[in-house]
Amino acid sequence: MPKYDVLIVGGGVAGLQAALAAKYAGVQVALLSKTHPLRSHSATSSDGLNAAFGSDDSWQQHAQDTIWAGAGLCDHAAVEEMCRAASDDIIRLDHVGVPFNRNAEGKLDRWTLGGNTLPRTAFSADMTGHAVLNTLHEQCMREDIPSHEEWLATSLAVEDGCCRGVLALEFGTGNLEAFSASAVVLATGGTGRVYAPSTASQSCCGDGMSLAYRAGLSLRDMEMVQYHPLGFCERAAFASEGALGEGAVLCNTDGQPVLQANDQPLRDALCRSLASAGDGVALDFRSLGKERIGTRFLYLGRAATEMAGISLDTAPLPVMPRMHRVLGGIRTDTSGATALSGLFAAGECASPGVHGANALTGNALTASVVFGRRAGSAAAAHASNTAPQALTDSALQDAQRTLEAVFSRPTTSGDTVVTIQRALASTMAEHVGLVRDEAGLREAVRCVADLQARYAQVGLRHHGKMYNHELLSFYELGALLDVAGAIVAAAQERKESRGVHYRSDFPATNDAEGSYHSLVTCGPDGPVLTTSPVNTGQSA
Amino acid sequence: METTFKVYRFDPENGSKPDFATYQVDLPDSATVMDGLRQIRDEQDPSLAFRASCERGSCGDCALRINKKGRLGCTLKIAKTVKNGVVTVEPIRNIPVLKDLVYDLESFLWKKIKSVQPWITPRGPEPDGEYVVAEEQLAEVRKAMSCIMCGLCDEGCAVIKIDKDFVGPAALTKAYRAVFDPRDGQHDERLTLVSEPGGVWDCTHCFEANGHCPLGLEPTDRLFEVRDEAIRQGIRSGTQNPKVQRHYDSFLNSVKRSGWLDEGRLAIESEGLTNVAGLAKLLPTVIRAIPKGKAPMPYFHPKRPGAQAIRRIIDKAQRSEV
Repeated sequence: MPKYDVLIVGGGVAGLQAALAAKYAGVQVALLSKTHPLRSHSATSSDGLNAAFGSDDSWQQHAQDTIWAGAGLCDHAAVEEMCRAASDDIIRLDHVGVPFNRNAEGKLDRWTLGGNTLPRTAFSADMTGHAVLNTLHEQCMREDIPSHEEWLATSLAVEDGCCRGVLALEFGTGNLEAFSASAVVLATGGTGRVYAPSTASQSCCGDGMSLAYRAGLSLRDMEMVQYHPLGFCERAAFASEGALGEGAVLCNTDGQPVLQANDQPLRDALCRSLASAGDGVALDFRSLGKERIGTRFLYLGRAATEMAGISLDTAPLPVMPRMHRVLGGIRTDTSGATALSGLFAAGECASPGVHGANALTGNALTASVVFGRRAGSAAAAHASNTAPQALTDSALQDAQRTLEAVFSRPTTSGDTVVTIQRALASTMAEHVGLVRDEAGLREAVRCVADLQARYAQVGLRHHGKMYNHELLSFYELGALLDVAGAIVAAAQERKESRGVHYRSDFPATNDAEGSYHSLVTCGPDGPVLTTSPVNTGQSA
Repeated sequence: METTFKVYRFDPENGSKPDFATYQVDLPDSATVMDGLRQIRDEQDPSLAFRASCERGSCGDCALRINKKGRLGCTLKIAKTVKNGVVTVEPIRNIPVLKDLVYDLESFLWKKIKSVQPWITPRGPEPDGEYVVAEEQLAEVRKAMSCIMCGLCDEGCAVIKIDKDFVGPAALTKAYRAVFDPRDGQHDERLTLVSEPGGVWDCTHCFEANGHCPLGLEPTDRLFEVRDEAIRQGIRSGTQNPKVQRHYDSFLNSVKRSGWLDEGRLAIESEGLTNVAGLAKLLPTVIRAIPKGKAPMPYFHPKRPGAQAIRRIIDKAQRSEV
């Protein structure tokens, strides 16, 4: 049984930051990841990293913009923590090799993204996530951090009220294994595949959220589902919002600008505006010229040519809002600690409370960098103060029995993992999308419950052990259904419009009744919704 | 659009030999090869194994050999590659296959990338803020770093095909990223490392890597730039690799003397005139070459017309280097 002080589950930006922080703290740390780290969804993050640099900006202004965007649901202590730390973390990334774009003085160039009152987004062309991911991976190689790749954590090992490791499935062999660790950091990324269409990679299945949920932890603010305004019409790709700051223009079918000059609205308003404009909206880069497109939009230029058949310097790129990410996640404090001793979370799977009801563009990657590091440090400190305890065999034996039971299910119903997953994703897009109402949400609740019941019966058509994708999808679908249940429950309960949660039957914001965090926990009969107040006080 | 997919299948669990299976798919004209593979797996044959992650050409997970060319399955449209209604999909070449279209990148790519130590080690004390660096100095580093590690340049590499120890163009593109990053403090050490056997000097200039890179990053050119930088720093052939040094010197001396490359002399001097064991290893090749007239007498190589001019050019270049 592999044993570590700290085990990081997930190899994206937050996971690698956590791994490095734990390593620097002097503990024995390892990564366990569903994909190779460089295949993580972080690689697609294109907007950049927000932080206050220079005398014209301040962390307080960054915090103020973040809180304004979050529409009353940001936890102020978490926002303060992120905004105070962001510039140091980004400078550290520069020191270890992220090739951030430079201005004429050779200092970090910055984009102005929607909702930011100042240019404060450091970027590496439109491949910042990719550049950060690669740089952190280089440092993990340098530190010789062991990496278990193509392993899926199937459950948390919880003994005596503490998280003591994970049970995981190795794709290559189909074997289950117990990983013992004094502290576990979940950094498993988002859950975009609960919708279709979305901007999600194949790996974004809410795995970590589901692990925590099944261990009795709360998922917070799950009704807050953010769309990206500049999605490709037929593929998961999207353009960086940096394009708007650079001078690209959103036009309607008549070629007329959709936005006023220099207007960069918040993402939620922009998405609803584009959705109401109907088909035919396109992003026009032609005024930028070929050279600027080539140097600032390294990825998009190629992607537009290959996937949309568009050369950005000669024709506008058709775009549409696509589901992008759930802003909520596993409830954590600002150190990444969850309510379960020994379990920490960071990145897109976690909710330290910085995004509220609408993430400020450019804050997502910053949150992963800052809270990934903090979670790794906190996990290392926890491990240093915890006597290592070997896992009992019973957890692994239980997991193996569960797996055997899945393989023994009949396949006679005609239902498959794929048909259930498709039904789930289309239900969520249809009823829990940009615009919601009671009837649609009620239908979504019914559909998700029905799909849960079908999932409990579905059998696997393929029984091979090596690289059995149907088995992987089976686990992923279980996680997606958990997440969907939480999203729908929280969305139905919030009878107002706030940030990305827009209800046509309750179009106004109701501060008297709506200023709360939703908390969804796993009850015996399905999701159980409670609420908690929003922390609007500063940190100590 | 109806298309026939011929897909490489290999499952070590059932003991069968590798073979191709044929599937019919019906997808819109905008569909990619990955859409086709997914339709096969989801609707026809759940045992089919392949890797896919980002679905947009960002992560490099789905590098495959499609209709005999190394491509990314997630961005290649079926309509662009289909030939006579057929799309043939195989794993990339020169790599151990684990199952169907899933192959083992560990020794092929990841270990090699680590071997060039492509991490930035700050030189001296770090500044309080960011490094002040001209954008022009970072632009090419950024471009090289946009490499998605798909491995297609290594798949096309003519050297890796016969020498698995060659680190290959992907790892050397990663080395380029570090070598030309002005923030790095291990510049000369890394140049020395990649000048060792199996490194930059083992490239045979076939330019296949350039042709195979789906991002147009020109790995071969970057590898040459690493070589040039090594030469500029006086790390011409690896300080710990006297054989490469001898090879380099012999090559230069030969061209300087006669204007031609004296291959016999090159072979002997590369091994070393006193290296009896090394010279003995050449004998079988010499014995096979003599009857075919392919082993001209070393050191008696005739001068080519214009040899004096070539010598003057080399002398001038050497003086300017000094």
